[in-house]
Amino acid sequence: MVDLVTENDVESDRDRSQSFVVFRLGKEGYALEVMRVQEVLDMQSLTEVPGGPKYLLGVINLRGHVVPVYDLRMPFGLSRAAQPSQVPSVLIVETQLGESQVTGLVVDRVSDVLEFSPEEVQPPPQLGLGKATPFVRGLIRHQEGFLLVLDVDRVLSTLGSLNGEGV
Amino acid sequence: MSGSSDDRFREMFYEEARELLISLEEGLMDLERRQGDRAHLDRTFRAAHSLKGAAAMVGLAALAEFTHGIEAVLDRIRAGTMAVDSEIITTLLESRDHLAAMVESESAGSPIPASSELTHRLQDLLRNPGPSGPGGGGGGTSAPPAAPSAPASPPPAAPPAAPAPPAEAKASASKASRKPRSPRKSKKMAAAEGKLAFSAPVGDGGGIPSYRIHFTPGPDTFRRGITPTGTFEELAELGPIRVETDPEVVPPLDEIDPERCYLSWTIHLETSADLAQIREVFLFFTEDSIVSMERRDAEGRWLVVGEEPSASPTSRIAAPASVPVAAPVAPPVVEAAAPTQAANGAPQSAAPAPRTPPRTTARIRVDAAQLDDLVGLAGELAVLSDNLMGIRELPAVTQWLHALESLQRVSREIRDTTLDLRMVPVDELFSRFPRVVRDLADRSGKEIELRIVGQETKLDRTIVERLGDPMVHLIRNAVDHALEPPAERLEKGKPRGGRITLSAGHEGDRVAVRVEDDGRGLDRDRIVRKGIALGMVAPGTSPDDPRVVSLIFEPGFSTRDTVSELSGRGVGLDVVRDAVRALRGTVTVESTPGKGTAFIFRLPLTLALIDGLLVETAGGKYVVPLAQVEECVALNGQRSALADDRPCIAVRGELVPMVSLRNLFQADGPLPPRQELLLTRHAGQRVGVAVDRLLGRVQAVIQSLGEGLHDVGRFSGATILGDGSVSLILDLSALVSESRFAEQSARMSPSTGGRAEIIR
Repeated sequence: MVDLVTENDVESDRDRSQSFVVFRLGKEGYALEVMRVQEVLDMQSLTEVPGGPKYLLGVINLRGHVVPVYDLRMPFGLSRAAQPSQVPSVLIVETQLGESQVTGLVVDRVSDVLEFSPEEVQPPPQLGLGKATPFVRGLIRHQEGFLLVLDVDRVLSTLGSLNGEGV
Repeated sequence: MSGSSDDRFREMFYEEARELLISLEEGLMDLERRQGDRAHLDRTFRAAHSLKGAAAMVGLAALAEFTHGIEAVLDRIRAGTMAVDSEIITTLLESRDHLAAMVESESAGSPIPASSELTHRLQDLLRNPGPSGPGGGGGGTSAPPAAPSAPASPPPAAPPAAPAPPAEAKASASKASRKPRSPRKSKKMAAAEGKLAFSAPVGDGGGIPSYRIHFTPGPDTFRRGITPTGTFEELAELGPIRVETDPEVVPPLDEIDPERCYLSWTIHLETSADLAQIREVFLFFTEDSIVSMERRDAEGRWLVVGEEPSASPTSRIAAPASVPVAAPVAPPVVEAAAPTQAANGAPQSAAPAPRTPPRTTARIRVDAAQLDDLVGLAGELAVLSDNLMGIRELPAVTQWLHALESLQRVSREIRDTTLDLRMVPVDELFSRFPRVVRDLADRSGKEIELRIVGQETKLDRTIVERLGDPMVHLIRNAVDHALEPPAERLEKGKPRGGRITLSAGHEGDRVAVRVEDDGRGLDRDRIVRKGIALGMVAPGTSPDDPRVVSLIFEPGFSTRDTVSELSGRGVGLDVVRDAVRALRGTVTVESTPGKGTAFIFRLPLTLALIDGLLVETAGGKYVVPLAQVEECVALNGQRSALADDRPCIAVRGELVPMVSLRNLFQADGPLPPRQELLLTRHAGQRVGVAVDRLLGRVQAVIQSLGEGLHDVGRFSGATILGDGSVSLILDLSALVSESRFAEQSARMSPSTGGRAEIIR
């Protein structure tokens, strides 16, 4: 279990720039506000839920609490089989439902925590991202390419509504 | 007041208001049943009155004003100028409900206004008082008590040389001396004197009556935000006062509880104000405070002045027996009421009711979520220490054996104690129902008697909370469908009024809650016909088939074709069943035609912990609640008793339908040579659930599977095993329904026929 930075530890310019957890999903890089991420775990053994929603990988024991873990690849239209050889990371994010409610999202690998100012976040393209389109709320130019800023609330509400469809 | 401190006071007010609203409701219900019971009336009045005062104190004028309407009506009833009838109670109850809604909306931040309709109705009641009150009658209660007759000769103007108290605290006296001997006589006071024979004969000698008041505020007075010194100021407005106290009773500084009121006071007051006005000052000092008053008569003797029924809002404030009291300073005041004076008041029960003994054990409010966390942790601790016992066998551990065993014992005790904290008596739930039944009876025109048995039975707080809706549902059904109108009952030789009995009691390690009526009973013919029409049972099923009754719990099943105002809005008993299942309980029904119906909920004592059986299927470990398993039998490669595709097993000659967990989970892989069959009961029938292996017993702390996963009905939750892995808790009953549903939908396609109900 590796706990990465969970707080904005840069005092200066704090009002303006924001920290993002940067992770890979398929071939793309994504960014998610660090404030929404409670912690990052290495994928551990999880308990499958037979008959559960298909995006639900299972449940894990997070320090005595049972937390559901969802696959972020599937809603993004990436096949489950194309998993990289590394150990995937689990982002533990707080849901809007309440502070005590957390959900795990499996991504390919968390690589970094970086700071960007609000100006660096551009509006997302209207199309061209395929299934990921609704879950992207912005773009950040970074190194040679772009990071897609994840709209985690949209992801969670979509997962929630998919759960409703049940088995 | 502003800002956060204001908010805090508001919060305190809401809590207090909710409690007062409950007492008010209970009081109002009592009022109808026990007309003329003075103590109840007073309690009820005081609830309204305190609520008004509390609302006014936090600046909620609309609330205070609306409450005033209720209080005014109650006051008229107390005065005996208004007779209690059902209509008045209904108005008061509805007003109370509106008041509750106002409080809740205020606390939610979106206040609703007072209902003008109800305000008018309350005012109408005040304008047209009914015939004189029951029992007491107008004359009886408004007549002044004959107690201490007014002194004929003028009493001494100054208080007599009171025997020197052990210590005199002059602290408050300065306030009193601000207005030395200048009794302010407002017109109102003068008028009051004229009305009440009790007031002093001011005219005949110019003497001002002199009172001695012993005042011992309850220890919790400060916590309720009331300051006794304000009382002195108010008294000082009535006339010159002198206040004495004994500071010796205050403990040393390092022992003092700053929120506790230790002191008691003796107040000498000269006033021509009447007793009611003096009592009014002590209004906010209720049950736990003691106020006794004496008045000096012509000979300079101190006579106890008693209760004045029509004017005293604080009837619980006891007066000592009517003898001249010699004790100088705040004597430990006699708690008993004066019986002689009581006789002169309202005839029925003017004597203050036997006091509820003050609570001896302190209570604290705890955040429910915190408590749940604690229960979870305590349970985990017990599981961990149980697991730790595994190392007992190691030779190196011998010297720690004692510590290990103690650890296990203590952690179990912690778990059990914390679990107990979550238990509340079902009375918290049952006490709602007299009101519900009354309202329903009112609307349906039926006469209903409600009996409540075993309300002290304790259950998990969550269960008690969530049982409310299902029970209201059943009670509505009983009133609407089961109980006959009075005429029909008489015709059948039953008592005129129908009866509903709510009871709770232990049944093994479960609690059974029954909702019983003595009405028509279930119409089995009708249920069968409907069941056949809906395709739920095979045509030709006999009405006596034991499965018929359980049909009423199926979704979409309702024998009533008409929709009534009370129930039958298309919400069926399936909702009740689902609610009870969600609490890991079961619901069954017993019914005798013409005699009545009983619905029985069987519920676990607690929701936090289950005794379970750890089983394995296709590599996954699952916990099955032990309560759901009747028996385990080995399946030694046994073939189905019927054809291969009809999964039924013969267990000791009985044909038992079987559900395979592997099939249900769509798990593949080789079947183990030997499987285990868990026998459970579903809708009255035995069903077997096949699993790969039994791993042993566990005591599991139940956790919710999390938001959004409630729909996975086959699991009632999850638990963390000793090795840190998560195990899902299987709900056998839901599993069986699920496979039955699957089979039924398969049956709807024409190809398959034959035995359909085997899985029931």
